[in-house]
Amino acid sequence: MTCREFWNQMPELEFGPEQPEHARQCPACAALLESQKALAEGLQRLAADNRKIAAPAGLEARLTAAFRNHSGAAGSRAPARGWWAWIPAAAAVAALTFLILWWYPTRLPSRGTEQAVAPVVSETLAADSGFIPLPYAEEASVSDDGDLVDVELSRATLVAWGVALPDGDPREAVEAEVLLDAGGAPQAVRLVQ
Amino acid sequence: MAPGTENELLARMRTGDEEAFLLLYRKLHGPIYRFVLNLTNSQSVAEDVTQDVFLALIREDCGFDAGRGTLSAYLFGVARKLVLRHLERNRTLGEQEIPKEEWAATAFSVNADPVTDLLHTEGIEALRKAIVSLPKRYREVVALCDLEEMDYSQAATLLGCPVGTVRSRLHRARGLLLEKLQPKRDPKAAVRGLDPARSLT
Ligand SMILES: [Zn+2]
Repeated sequence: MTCREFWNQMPELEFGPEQPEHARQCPACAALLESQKALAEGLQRLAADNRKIAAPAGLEARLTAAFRNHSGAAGSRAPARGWWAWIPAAAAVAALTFLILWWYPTRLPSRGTEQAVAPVVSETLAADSGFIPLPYAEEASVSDDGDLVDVELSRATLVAWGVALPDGDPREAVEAEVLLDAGGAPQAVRLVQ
Repeated sequence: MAPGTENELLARMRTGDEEAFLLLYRKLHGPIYRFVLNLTNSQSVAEDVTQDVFLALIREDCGFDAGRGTLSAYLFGVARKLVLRHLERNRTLGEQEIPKEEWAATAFSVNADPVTDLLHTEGIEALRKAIVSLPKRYREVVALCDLEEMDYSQAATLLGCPVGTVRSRLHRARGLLLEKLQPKRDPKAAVRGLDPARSLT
C-alpha cells in the first residue's frame, strides 16, 4: 500500500486502537497519524469545553423584555441593547460622525465649488428635495459656503437624526448625503437611493 | 430538540406565549452564541449577533419557513450572515479579522510536540487560537462540524455547498491546524527571538 492509498482509505479523524499495518512500516505516516490523533483529541476536548460556554444571562433578560414588548404584554421594557435603546447612544455616535465629517469632508471638485454648492444648498432644503433638516440645524446657518458630502452612516445614527428606516441591524452602514454648513456642521441628511 | 417540538414552540410563541419563547431561546441560543464566538473570537460580537438573531425571530417577518428546514438551521443561517457581514465590515474598515495580539499568540504551542501539547490546557488554548486564525471558510466548518458536532450534510445545507466541499474543507482545515501547531524546527528561529546582551560578531 502506498502512502496515498493509506490516507485515502483512512476515515476522517476516526482512529482505531491499533496501529494500521502501513503506519507500522512507514515512519512518516506513523508520525502524521499520531499528529492527526492528537488533533482529533484536542478538538474533542475543545468541543467539550465549548459546550460549557453560555451567553451572558443579561441577554435572556433583554430578549424576554423585547418579546413582551413585541407581543404587547404588560410590564414590557425595551432591551438595553435593542436598536431602540441605541437612540440615546447614537447621539455620541452622531457627535463622532460630526467630527469625522469636520475633518474629512469629501469636498466637491475644487474649481467652481462655491458656484456648485450654492444652488445645491438652497435647492436641497426645499421640501421636495428629500433632505431632512437635523433637529438642531439652524436655517440661518445653511449658507452658500456649505458643502455636500457623501458618507456612510450607521442606521442608529440616521434613526437618531429622525430618518425613518425599516427595521434592521443598527450598525449597518447606510449611504447618505449630508449638507454641512460653512463651519462643517451637518444641517440636513438625505438617503442615497 | 426535535424539529416538530421547535415548530410547536414557535407556533405558541407567535401567540405571545413567553414560556415557549424562553424554551426555544434556552435550547437554541447556546450553539449559536458559541458558533459566532468561534468564528469571531469576540464575546461582544457573539452576544450582539445572538441578540439580533432572536430579535429577528421575535419579529414575525423573520422569514422562517418550516417547509424548507429546521428552525435551528435557519437561525444558524441568520447568525452566519450577520457574522459574514461583520467580518466584511471589519475588512472594509481595514481592520484585521482577528486582533493582532491574537495572531501573535496563535504561534505556537508550548512544546514542540503537538501530541503532548494537546493534552494540556495550553495546547487546547493554542488550538483554539489556531482555529480562530484559519481562513473564514475553514474556520466555519471546524466551528460547525468539530466544535458543534453538526453532521456534514447539515453543515453543507447551512453553508450552501455540497457535502464533498465540507469534507474537503475540513480536511484542509485540519492540515492547516497541524501546520500552525507544529512550528518548523528551524534552529535559527529558536535564537531569533532572543535579544543578546552583546553581539559577538
Ligand atoms: Zn506512508
